[in-house]
Amino acid sequence: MDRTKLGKSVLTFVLVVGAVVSTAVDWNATHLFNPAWHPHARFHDALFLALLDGMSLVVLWLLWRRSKEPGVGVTVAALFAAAVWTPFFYIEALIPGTSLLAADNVPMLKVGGMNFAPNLVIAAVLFLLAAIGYGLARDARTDARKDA
Amino acid sequence: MRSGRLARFSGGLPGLLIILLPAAAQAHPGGSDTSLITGLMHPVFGLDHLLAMVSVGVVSAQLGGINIWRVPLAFVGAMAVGGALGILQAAALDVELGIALSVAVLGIGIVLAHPRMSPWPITALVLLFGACHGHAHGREITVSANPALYTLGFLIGTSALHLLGVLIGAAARMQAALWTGLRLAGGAVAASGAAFLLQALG
Repeated sequence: MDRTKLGKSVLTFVLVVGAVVSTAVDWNATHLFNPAWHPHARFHDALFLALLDGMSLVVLWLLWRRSKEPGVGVTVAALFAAAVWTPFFYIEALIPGTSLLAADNVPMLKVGGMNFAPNLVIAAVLFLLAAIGYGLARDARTDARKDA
Repeated sequence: MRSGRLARFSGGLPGLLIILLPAAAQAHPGGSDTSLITGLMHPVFGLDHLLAMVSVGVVSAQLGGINIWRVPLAFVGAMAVGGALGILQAAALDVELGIALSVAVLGIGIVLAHPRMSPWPITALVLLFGACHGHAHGREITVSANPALYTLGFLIGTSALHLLGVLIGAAARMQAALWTGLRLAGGAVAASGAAFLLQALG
């Protein structure tokens, strides 16, 4: 398997796992069907999941379609993953009254003696993998320039 | 040039893995009520699971070709079946012994694997080991956990570790020094497996 295909496979993993995990984690009584949430808040969660799943499918198509500009799909896939997963690191600081945790009793992950929200760790791993995938597949961009 | 870039790129992976690991990694740390997250983290925070699953990815990349997908898929498929049996608390042979053996054998696999060898013996072993790891994950499900989400979680966690192994193996295939280093690392994994075996037998 060449570098480009490996990189595209890593990006595919990030897109698929990101969509599946987000949907599975939110599709329950702690999020989407939480009776304590305002109906419009639940609407926004559903909207986020629909957008994430739909956009992930579009980006997967863009990544693997036959094209004279294969680098576009690689770049879009990496930027899309970054756009989805980096807000986990700053939303709490940016928007007052928001929280990474759905409840007070969510078990934290102890990493190197420090506590981390599990979703923050997932976001970090997927962002890191997206960067690795982009780094591996960026030859696709170079190939496109050569073709031009 | 290409191989050099990939080597630099992947050289930090083991370090990152160490950073992401808890200070005291130990197998089967117990569950929580967040089914998917618990399942997702279970393979990552058990050193025996972690070593075996990363090794599966490394060996598959060393074999190359379609084996990059076939070997990990065999493990994940067998793990799903083993996980279902574990959730049902079905009786099994000594699963912990199987897990310890998997680390030792896959470590030896890293030492020996090359693109010209037959993939079938290792694939058959991976099927067996996947079932053992799955059974161990499944039987440790907590009463409050959702079985489907928990299973989905540990299958995704396992796939991520396979992917990490594939990246390490693919990097090693592109540079001779890394290939040698990988074989030495395989020896260390096999030694860890031997220690797990002694623990399981003792």
